Formats: sequence, C-alpha cells, structure tokens
Amino acid sequence: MKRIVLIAIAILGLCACRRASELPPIHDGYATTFILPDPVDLTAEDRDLIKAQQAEYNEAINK
Amino acid sequence: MKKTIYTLLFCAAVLTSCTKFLDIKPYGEVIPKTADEFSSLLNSILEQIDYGEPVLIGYPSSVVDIECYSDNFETNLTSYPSGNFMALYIGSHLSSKQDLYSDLYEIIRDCNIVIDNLEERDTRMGKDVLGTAYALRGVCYYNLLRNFCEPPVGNLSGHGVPLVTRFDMEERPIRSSIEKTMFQAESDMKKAISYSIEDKIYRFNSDIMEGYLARLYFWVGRWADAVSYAEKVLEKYPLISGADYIDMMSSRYATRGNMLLRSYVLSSGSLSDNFTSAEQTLTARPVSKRFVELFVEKENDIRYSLSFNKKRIHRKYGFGCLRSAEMQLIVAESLYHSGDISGALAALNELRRNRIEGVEEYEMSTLPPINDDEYITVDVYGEPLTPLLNAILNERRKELFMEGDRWYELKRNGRPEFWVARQGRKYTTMKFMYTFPLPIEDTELVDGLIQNPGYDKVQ
Repeated sequence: MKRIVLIAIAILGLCACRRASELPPIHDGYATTFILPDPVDLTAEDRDLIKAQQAEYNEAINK
Repeated sequence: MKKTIYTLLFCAAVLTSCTKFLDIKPYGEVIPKTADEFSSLLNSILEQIDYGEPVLIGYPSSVVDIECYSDNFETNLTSYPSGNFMALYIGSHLSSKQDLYSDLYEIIRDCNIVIDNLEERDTRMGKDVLGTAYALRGVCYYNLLRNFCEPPVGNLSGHGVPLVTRFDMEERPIRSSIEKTMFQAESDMKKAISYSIEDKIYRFNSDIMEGYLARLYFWVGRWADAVSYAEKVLEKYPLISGADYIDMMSSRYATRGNMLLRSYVLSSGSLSDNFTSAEQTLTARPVSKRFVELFVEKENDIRYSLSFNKKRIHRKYGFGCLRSAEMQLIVAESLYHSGDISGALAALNELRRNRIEGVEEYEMSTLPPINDDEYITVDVYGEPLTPLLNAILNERRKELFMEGDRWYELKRNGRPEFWVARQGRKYTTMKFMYTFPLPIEDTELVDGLIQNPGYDKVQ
C-alpha cells in the first residue's frame, strides 16, 4: 500500500506541466549597434573634388 | 485504504489545475468590446499622424533625415557645427532603424487585436474601424517591404518580412518572401477598400487606399495594376497648377489641393518647434548642383523658387503626404516599363504642362541627354537609363523633393554607391545599406529569422 502511495506521490510530484520551459531564455543587454565598415582617408583626388565643389558653389551663390 | 484513495483524489483535484492557469486577466484595464472601444486603439495611431510621426507617413524631422541620406543635398558642403544635427549618411542612422521595425509591428499588433476581436462588424462604425485596421496594417507591410526588404523587381522570392496576422504572444514567425509580403499588403489594402470607410476621422478612405495600392504595385513592378490604380486617383484628384499648386505646397499645416493625405497637420508646442528646427538644421547643407541643374527652365518652372533660394538652401517644407503628382509619375514610369512609350511621354508632358510656364513638350528626339554625373545610371531591371526614363526620373526628383522620395528612388534604381566626406574621411553609402537591418533582439530570439546581408557584426 505504502508503495502505491509513494508511486502516486512520485507521479504527482515529478510530472511537471507539459511546457516547462516555454519561457524564452532571459538575456540581458542585447547588442544594439551594428558595426559598419570604417570610413577611409580621403585621397588627394577626393580632396580636389571637394575643393572643386566648394569653388563651384561659392561662385554660383555670389553671382 | 479508503482514506488513502480520498487523499489521492483530493490531491489530484487540487493540484491538477486548468491548462490555461497563466491566463491572467488584466485588472484596471478595459477590455474592448464595442466598435467605439476598439476605435480608441486606432485613434491613438491616427492622432499621431496629425501631430507628426516618423513611422507611417513621416513628419518634418524624419523626412529631412531621409532627404539627407540621398543625393538631393551636397553633404560635402555642410557647414558645422549646425551640420552636426543632420545625418552625415545613412550609416549614421542604420542602428536606429531597428526602432522603425518594432514600431511598425506594434501598429500591426494593435490592428490584429481589432481584426481578431471586433464583433460589431455590421454597423457603420464597425466597418469603419475594421477597414481602418486593415488599412493601417496594409500600410505597415508596405513600409516594411520598402525599408527592410531588398528591391523587389525581379526578386520576388527574396526575403520578405515575418507576416503576423493575428495576436499571439507565443508566435515566432520567420521571414516570408517578398512576394508573400506584397500579397499581404495588397490583401489588407483591398479589404480596407471593401469596407468603404466613411468617417473622416479614420483618414484611410478608399481613395487613399487606391493611392497606396498604386504605390505598392509600382514598388513591386506590377506596372499595369499601378497604372490602373493611379489613374483612378487622378480621375478624382486631377493635377493642379499655378496659384493652386503654390497654395498647396506652401501650406504649412493643411491638406490642400490634390493632397489626399498629409501628416503633421496640427501644430502644437514642442512639435511646432520640431518643424522649425528640422528646417533650420537643413540650412547648413545646400542642395546639390546636380539637383539645381535639373531646373533647366529655371523660374518658368513653378517648383524652382519653391524648392531652394539663390544660396541653394532649401525652401520647400518637408512633409509626408500622398498627392496626385506622384500618381502621374507612377503612370508615366509604369507605362514606360510596360512598353507604352508614347503613353509615358504624354503622361510626362502633362505633368510638365502643369508646372512649367510656356513649356515646350518633349518629343522623343528632343529629350535631354543623360547627365553622366548622376548616381542613378540603371533602371529597376538593371538596364541602362534611356533619355525618356531619365526625364521621368528627373521630373519625379523635382516634384517630390523634400517629401522623402529620392532615397527610395536610389534604392529602386540600382542602389548606387556614393561617398560623402567629413574631417578628412570618406563615408560610403554601400549597396547593402539601402536595406535596413532587422532588430538584433529579434534575430537572437527567433530561430531561423534571417538578418539582412551586411549586418553580421554587432556590439
């Protein structure tokens, strides 16, 4: 008899709910930022192009 | 023995609870039942459109941001420190686009709650509320498609976005295809039209949704459908010109002329300051020479002096809206891609007649040559631009300046890479950056949710 009671208690105690781990794992501090390719230094050609843009702009607005 | 059996039965009855033991009812919260109560869920979203929001339609700050990503302005000529408040290039804002994704799904969640639970479906109000929920959900999927998926033309099997059509906290959907996302947006927009929303407070009436359908079909390259819906809108809201056009475009807080929908129509306190500050900030960055040179007819083009001043500083207000001129441009380009060249030319000329005084109509032989300095060199199919398509794209760029359109035009037509400079360094808008990243948290939590290319490094 005692055995039956023990087995019954074991069944009740050990059979947990169907989806014991239905909660998603808790994470703290997800990354929030994407790392993008680093900017590169301007070449002499790039600098000339920017200077030309500035010169054209100054000339156009001071006409 | 009996005692033991009773004890066991008692334990079984007490300890085995119902399966939904965690379904806790919220206390102190109203669970909506009537159409009126459900409408308040949607009204808070709709109200944000009036006061200015960056998610559905866009308001001054967000439109200025999108313009700054594009080539309408000359970033290399930005003056500092005022220029510090503007995006240098899209890379400056890519991480924050995760919020746009989450905000869109929050609206979808609210729409799903309405669609799933509203029982009052036969009353006028019930139909309006239900129609609005479908309309908003359709617009959200359209926005997700444009921002978080790669260009769709010729790529319908590419990654779409997760489709969530019912409220279920347990659901962890993975990405659909671009085609399925398109069908979802289309189906929602058509359902919204079927409810014929009448009450003006719900904004998204059938005319507006037909305009959105035209936009959707245009974005995915369903040219015949795009023409059909754009023409429906143009029939009811024909192009306007002259003083009426100036009045519409100069109006700071009102939906005028042939504007069907406009955000930011109510000014109040800090938001009014936001409008002003968005405009003031932009005075630190002139419009680009390439953009200025599109106005060949100069002052005869009504948009010339509306767009920028002699110092090439913008004059047009930045706002998000839906208006007829966009529909006319959709017709022109869609006819072009359908092979109806004379129809496309006629549609383009019609818009130009409404904008340029004494304009000489374009003929195939008098179309302007393609400017080799322009960033867009290919069309949606990757084919080199023809003079006619080039003219259509140029007209679109002039017409929809400061309405947040050009960035998506770059995305649609080849995703060109270009660089801007600051403090001796070169920042490049790369091809992958035209497609925004999904939130890191979502890709970590949902098995199988694929991130867009280029976003594999995080911190």
